[in-house]
Amino acid sequence: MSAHIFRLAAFASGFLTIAVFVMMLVLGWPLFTSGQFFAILTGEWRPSNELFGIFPMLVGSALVSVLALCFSLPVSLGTAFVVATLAPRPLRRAVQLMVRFMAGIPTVIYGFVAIFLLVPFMREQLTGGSGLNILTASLVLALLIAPTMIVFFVSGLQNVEERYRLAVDALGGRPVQKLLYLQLPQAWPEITAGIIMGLGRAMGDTLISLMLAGNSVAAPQAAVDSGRTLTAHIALVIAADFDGMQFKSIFACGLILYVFTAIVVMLLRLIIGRSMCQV
Amino acid sequence: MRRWFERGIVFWSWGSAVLLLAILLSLLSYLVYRGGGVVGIGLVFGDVPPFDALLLRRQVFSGLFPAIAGTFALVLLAVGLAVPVGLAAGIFMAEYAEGQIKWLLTVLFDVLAGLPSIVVGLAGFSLTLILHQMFPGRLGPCLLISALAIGFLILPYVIHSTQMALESVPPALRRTALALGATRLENIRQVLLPTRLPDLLGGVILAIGRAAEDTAVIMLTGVVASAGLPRSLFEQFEALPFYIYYISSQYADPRELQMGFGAAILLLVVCALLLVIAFIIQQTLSRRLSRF
Amino acid sequence: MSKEIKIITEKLHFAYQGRAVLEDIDLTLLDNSIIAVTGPSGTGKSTLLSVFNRLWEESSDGVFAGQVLIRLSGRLVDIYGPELPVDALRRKVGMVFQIPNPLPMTIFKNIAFPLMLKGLRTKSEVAGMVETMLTRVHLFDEVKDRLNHDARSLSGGQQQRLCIARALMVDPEVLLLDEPTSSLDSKASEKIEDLLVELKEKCTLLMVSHYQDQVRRIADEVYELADRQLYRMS
Repeated sequence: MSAHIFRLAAFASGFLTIAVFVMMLVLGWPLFTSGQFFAILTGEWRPSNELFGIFPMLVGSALVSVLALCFSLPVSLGTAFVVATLAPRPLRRAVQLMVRFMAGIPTVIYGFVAIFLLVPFMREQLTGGSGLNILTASLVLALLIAPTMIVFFVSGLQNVEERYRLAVDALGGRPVQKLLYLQLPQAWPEITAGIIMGLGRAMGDTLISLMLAGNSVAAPQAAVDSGRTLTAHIALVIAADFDGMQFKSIFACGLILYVFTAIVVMLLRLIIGRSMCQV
Repeated sequence: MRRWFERGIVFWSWGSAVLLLAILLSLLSYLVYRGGGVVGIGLVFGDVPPFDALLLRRQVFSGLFPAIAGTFALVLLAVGLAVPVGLAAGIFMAEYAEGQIKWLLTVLFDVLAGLPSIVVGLAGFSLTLILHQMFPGRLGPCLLISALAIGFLILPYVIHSTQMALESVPPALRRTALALGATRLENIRQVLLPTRLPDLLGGVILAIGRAAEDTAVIMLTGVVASAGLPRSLFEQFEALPFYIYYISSQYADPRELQMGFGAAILLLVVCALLLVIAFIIQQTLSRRLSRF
Repeated sequence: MSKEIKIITEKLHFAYQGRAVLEDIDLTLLDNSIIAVTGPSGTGKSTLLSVFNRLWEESSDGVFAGQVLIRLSGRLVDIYGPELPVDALRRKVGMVFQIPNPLPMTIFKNIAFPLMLKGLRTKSEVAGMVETMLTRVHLFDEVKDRLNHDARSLSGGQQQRLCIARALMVDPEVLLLDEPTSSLDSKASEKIEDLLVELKEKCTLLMVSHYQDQVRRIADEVYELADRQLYRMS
């Protein structure tokens, strides 16, 4: 009896996950039947001219996340080195706690502080304009995804068996040598996984790009341009309109994000056979 | 040459860690600098006496009380929905599921865990559209829909921590009660779950943190900037993270902006406390385990 | 030729997690000899070894007190003093573990690894030195065709000889051996024992062993560790 309840709960949860996809497919169906789907993927967004392409948002999302990854990767890797090996034992724990705390800070707070601290700086010192642009958003996103990546990197680096580490210690290897010549070569799967996971997080975030990227609907040409991501597009269109093709296009965004997530999950399974829930 | 490379790596690594620390510290101190002044009873209740506000005798207009109450109600509902389902599903995954079914469900829950919260919000929003078509004029975005969506968002984390907790019970302990003639269910209820309770609790508390901080989901499913206290499941509501988001672009005067900073401090403290509690629970667990 | 003093300890104490493991140990190790430490398991024999290369610092929160001096280029130097950095110390005091621990890389790279840590040699020099060292531990003929295979594919006895070769690569003056044959069969053990006797010519060997017959065969001096103290056996 109870086993049936457990089974029902699990199957229902799994079913709902599929249902989300199907629901978006059904609600966005007019896009497919009118043969517009690929036009929407590659076209520009000009509702006044009946053009509902989400290409600018695809570019925006890709640009913001890849830039965020580029900023975050070196810092995350360096910090992971410190946590995994370079710092003396008690300090490692302290840095690790710092990383956990950063992971626990609500996204909206990162965005909120950035608006009043980073945006004026960008406006006055670096990019000019409103200070709301892809570069600003990706800098904050870099901070947001750093803890996720650090956790993956550290677990990969620390995964190396104790006896190998002792062998290097006993040969007089300094911590940085142990790190570079023993731990790093062993940790590639986890490092790749961390990068994929970080990219996934960056693509999936809504609030930072919504608050900081400027949300302009033209496809961005450069990092200092204003831009709009797929996620922000969903939030902005829903706030404005609930009907017509304009509204249908957000289901295309949703479907793209869903498929992207599924790809990330499959890649992670392939690389380290681990679940997304652990961070 | 190699020696210089190694030194460079050390330098860069420490630089990275210090950079993160510096950013974190400046973020925190900026929050306190801008919002520290308003943190207090007045931030929550405005000029209404706290007791009157808590007993619902008077409405709070100039404080965060409605937003806090909204977030509280939302988290309570979402966790109340997600935990029973997640617990049951997690037990199924750990104790009953096998082979391809288990693989398929694991992948599905992973996808669910990885879905951007805006997509979960969009699903919740779509649900209101469908319900709207079925029962015209009855249901729009509201607290219930938000709670369902947030519950759905944290569901995979509850499932995962339940499953992990059960699967990490040592085989010897797992067999003890079974050898004494306990049924599978009795074994789960009397032995497996109690020994791993701290693990489970830690997972649930982290899920609470996620539920409390998420903004994208509720933005699409029923949160608004001013609604007063949540009165019914079928009405719109206020929430702390949305208030912060809203203030960032819509503040009318410096006083309101300062309240936004105060709200950010409040939300941060709540999330930090949840983190600390989860951490302490995990520590006691690991200490207990090290005694075996 | 009378043997010189290689290592002296004075009033050596060691506690691990608040529990004393070694107390008041005064020990003198002579050059070019094999010194064996026996005793029941769990009495801290491995801990005693790790005091000499400070390896305990890497894994436990132990507390150390006392003095350990090592003779380097004719002068006694404090192992825990500022004069001797820990990586330099560990090149002078090599170590071989109970379970062979070749690194997860090829046979060749395992042997060349200590040279890479020193960051000194060019490729051609390294190849020559690897061959010399493998020959010295009587392993070269067995592995010369598969230097690029993973070192973990070797048999236990071969792995242990590989680890000894790796430890010898940077010319240590003292070699610590933690039950080096206990995971091996008798034939492989015999080869290791013969090797250790040969190595005596070049350095001081401090070995933990619980095989009485092995100790009798190869050790010059034998101590028993019991109740946190060292007792000299005849």
